[in-house]
Amino acid sequence: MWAFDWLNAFPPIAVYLAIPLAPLAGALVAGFLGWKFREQAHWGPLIGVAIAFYLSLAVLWQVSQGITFYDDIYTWAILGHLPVSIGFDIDSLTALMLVIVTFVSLCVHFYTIGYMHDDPGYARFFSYIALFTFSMIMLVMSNNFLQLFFGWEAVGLVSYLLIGFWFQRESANVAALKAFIVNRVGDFGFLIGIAAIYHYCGSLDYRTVFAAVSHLVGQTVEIIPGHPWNILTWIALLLFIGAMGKSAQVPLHVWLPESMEGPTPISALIHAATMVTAGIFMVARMSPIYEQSPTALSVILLIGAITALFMGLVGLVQNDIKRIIAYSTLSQLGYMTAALGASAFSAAIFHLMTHAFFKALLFLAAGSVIHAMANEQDIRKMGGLRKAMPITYITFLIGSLALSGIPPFAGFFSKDLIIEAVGLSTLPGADWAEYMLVAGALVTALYTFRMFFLVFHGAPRMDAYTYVHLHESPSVITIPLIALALPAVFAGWAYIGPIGLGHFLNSSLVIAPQLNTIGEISAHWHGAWDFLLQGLLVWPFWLALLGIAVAAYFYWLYPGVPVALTRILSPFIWILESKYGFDAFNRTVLVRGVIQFGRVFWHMGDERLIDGIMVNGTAREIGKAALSWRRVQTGYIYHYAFAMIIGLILFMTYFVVWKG
Amino acid sequence: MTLELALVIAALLFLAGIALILLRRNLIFLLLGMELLFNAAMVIALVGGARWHSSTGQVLVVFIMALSGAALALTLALLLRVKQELGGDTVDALRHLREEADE
Repeated sequence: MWAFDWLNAFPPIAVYLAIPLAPLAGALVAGFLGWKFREQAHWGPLIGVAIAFYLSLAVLWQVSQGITFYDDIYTWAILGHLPVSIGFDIDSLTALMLVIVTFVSLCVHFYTIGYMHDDPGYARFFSYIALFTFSMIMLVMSNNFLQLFFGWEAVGLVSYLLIGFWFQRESANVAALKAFIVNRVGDFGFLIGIAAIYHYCGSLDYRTVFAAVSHLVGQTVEIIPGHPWNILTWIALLLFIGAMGKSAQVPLHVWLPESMEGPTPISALIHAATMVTAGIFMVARMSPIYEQSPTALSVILLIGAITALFMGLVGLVQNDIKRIIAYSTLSQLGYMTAALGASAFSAAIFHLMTHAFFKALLFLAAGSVIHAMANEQDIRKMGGLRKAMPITYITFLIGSLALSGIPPFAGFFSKDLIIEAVGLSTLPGADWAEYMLVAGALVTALYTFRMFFLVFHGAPRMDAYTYVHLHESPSVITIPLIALALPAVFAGWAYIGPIGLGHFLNSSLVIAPQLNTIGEISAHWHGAWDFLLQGLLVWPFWLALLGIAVAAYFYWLYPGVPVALTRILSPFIWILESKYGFDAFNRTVLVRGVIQFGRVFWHMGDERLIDGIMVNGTAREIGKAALSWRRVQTGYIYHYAFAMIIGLILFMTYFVVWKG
Repeated sequence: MTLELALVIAALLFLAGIALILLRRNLIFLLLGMELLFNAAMVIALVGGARWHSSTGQVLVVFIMALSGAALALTLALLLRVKQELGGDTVDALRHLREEADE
């Protein structure tokens, strides 16, 4: 394409290297020189990410022309026989992820200029988000497991820093720590999985590993003697534990709702559009491993479906606008995970893409609402914002329709594709997963439009001062909303063929023929229009419409009804409000259990054994010995003299009698 | 004078010195005892030199005399200070090196 032709003058590696390095340079400039630039600190990261976005588009263009890249470009260290190298794997999956990441990141950078303009940590914030973009790019461009792990941990670190961005708030610090610790659990599994891969394949390079995987098929390992287990299932599940942590799947989801303590642009960029989808990307990238293990796929399918339905239900009873969208993110990540389980990797990536657009849009629009409401996040205190904020209203509506899966918005295509793929899956548990996902469509529409109607329609419920000061946000905030609303409208329609059905992505994926659900859908493919018409005839669409209708009836037309219903359904509401007790379980069993466990080691091991016996014990025994020996020192000179003479005589006797 | 006789005299001198050190409390006697020990050593050195026809013994004696004279002068000065500070000239007054029993 003409816009990218001048890049041909450079070696391809230079172009690829510039993609991660441009945001990194921006992060360093904002981080180290931010105190100097103050209000202008956004320029470094903004330009860096803009360069990365432009080059990502160029790479996507090149890949679509068949130019791919796979090589190590720099050996960082050699540990034994293990080379630790930085390498790039540029194929369709990577190129697509690059464009999604840099596009959302660019929108969020732009938005942040308006959203954070009077925050004292302005430069620090820009430095962090540019660093995040760098880490995420390294993650998706990696061609080996160690670099993947580096990016994986780096995005986790930046996520921690940004959740705790307002570090004066105790709740932010707690949420940041929680996110970090829960992710450690996932990363522990991930690391063991990587170690197992190195152990069995002898390499951490993607292609070498994927080539070696075929030799591992059917091999077993006895972790508990007498119970042979399939090695590949183990590796796949261990890696998936990492994905569960990062992509917040049950039961490692507890950190994501609390991560909303961070500033809203972060919720959009990291905790909705990009970082949390790293797990989805990773599993899709590892498709050659996962396709060899139907057991692991079954587990993934069910965990995804459970997350999709039950986290959506929790979203119904939340009142914080950001928490509702957070639970919605959990639910949508569940859809993606379920798609992975059904071997519909391309559908998962497709949903990842549409979700990145409409969820980032929803978060940024929610941020615009919060901004106008003077930092009020409780939807019960909003209402009637439609007239004051027309652009936010329309973009939020687009995001909500896309999220609920109403045609022709983006979410409809990706979600329907996933449900169809899961329905075609023959894995054990696939039918249950399908029921849960279909029911999830109703729940999604219900919580989305409950929030929508409570925020934008009905009578205003805020205090008079806030009401008078309601205003549409400045253009630095509304322009990213519009930029994200466009793909939220048309991305589904336009890209279901190349991305959703994998015509473009398939070169990066490996799908076993007997599990090929997407292939089956492809075989009966008559274009997006036909898909849309068929979508109108199946359950998910009607359930979504029902959800919207119920939400409109309850929260817009007859606000008294939900109050009465709450009383009748109080046991269920209690279950949902306590979030199925995951937090209580973690607090009482895990946290307190670990503290008790640690206390035992503290008292027995540290206090008694190490301090009591080894450290203080040694000192005490030496003291005792010294106490008895010092009686020898009487202070009488003739005692000393006597001792000397006796000694002299003894020596003389020894030398004269025995040696003489 | 035979060698044996000289050695017996030296041994007697040595024993007398030890006896003085161990039995007397007075610091002057302590010093006298030490001088006797030196003298016993000097007698041994002298007869040894005579026995093997070497001048080393006599040279050694001259050195020991000089050294013991110097040491004696120093100790006497210390003794004077002890008497002034502690008000006594017996070893019982000099028990400051003792570890105070504190248990």
